[in-house]
Amino acid sequence: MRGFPLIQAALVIVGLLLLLFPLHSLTQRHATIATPTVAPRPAKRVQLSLRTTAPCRFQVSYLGQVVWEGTDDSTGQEIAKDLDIDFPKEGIDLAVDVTWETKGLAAAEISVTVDGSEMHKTLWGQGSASDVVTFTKD
Amino acid sequence: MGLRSACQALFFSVLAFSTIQLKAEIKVASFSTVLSEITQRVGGKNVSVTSLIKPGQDPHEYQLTPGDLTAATASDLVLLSGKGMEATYLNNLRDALPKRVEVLAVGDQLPGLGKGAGGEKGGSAEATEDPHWWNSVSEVEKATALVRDALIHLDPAHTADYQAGAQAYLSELKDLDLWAKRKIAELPRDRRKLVTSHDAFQYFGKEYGFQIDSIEGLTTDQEPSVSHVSALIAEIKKQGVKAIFLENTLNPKVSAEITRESDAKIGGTLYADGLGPGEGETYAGMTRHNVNTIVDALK
Repeated sequence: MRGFPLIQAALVIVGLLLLLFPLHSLTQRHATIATPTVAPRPAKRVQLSLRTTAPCRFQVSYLGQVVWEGTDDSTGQEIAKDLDIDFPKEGIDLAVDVTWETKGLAAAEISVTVDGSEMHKTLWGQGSASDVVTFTKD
Repeated sequence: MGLRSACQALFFSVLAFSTIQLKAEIKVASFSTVLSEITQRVGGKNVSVTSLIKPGQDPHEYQLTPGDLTAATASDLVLLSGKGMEATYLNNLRDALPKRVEVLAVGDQLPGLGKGAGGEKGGSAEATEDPHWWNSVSEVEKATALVRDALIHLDPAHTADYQAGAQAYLSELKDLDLWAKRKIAELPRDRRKLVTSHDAFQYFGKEYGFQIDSIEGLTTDQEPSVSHVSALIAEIKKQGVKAIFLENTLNPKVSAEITRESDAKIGGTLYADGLGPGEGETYAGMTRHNVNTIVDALK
């Protein structure tokens, strides 16, 4: 045997230590991180419009937030508002509250236009109406 | 002497009238906690309701006892959930009931929903459609009308009472439904993916726009297969489902395993099979609890 046994032993240990890293990389259990494939979509320009049979106060909420409110004094004329919101293929729900000045039967038509598609829903009520309406592109 | 006779006549008249009034009370035996509440609310003081399924009890596991059969045979009306919920004892019950006892399987009068995702992996042969119609408020509204009509049929003398009771309860249900819709509207429609212990929320899903997946099938009496649980975990990961839900009457073991294997957390415990202790002591409380739990966990 030639050389110093201590140095030889140290070299063997260093060699083994150097091997540890690639061995660890090859043998470790890769954590399967479930990355949701649901990627955030860019917001879309959505136009809301309202037409009512009688003067009214109205409020429109999306995802629990009021996005449009006001009064409509012009009977039969459409008023509109643009929103930049996500519009998934499952559609959107809008919570709509309308209070008319008249106590008789009245109606409010709310329309949503997105990507050239126009969708309409109508609420009827005597004095007021509240509902959650769903708009889905077919 | 004349006064005494008059008093006696008055006493017996009052006694006879009271007896007639007591006899007029309709006895109802209910195999559903939700139907018990509906009947109490619609029937009021004219009806005596015996709840054979207790709040918090799993109706899928219920066994008909001699005591319950005696209560059912002594009633004027037996109310069943229907849609196969009572399949294991229905024939025995029908055979034992006297002809004078009317039976109303409420769910059988409501529109059916077929097996959901969970239905293909388990469940008894009898269960081919979801019997959990009460998880949609609008179905409970229809059930209320059916119970009202059954009580009027049995006891037409109190028609106005039953109509008033039903109207008051229906008004509360209408408010509850609007509240539920508003609360659920806080959750984007593409996040409405509901994974529950067993397939009890098809009506809820249809009503409020949820995609439903479940660990067990339509009933709670069979363990899910390994392949089904693996597929469900894969689906939860693929869809990025944030939470899965336990039920008040079921063992949470498999659900806990799924959360360990996916990024989903336990979103809370739902009342799936009817009323139960705590917030679920009333139908409104049960619905509010379920909706709040689901929306808050999936937001």
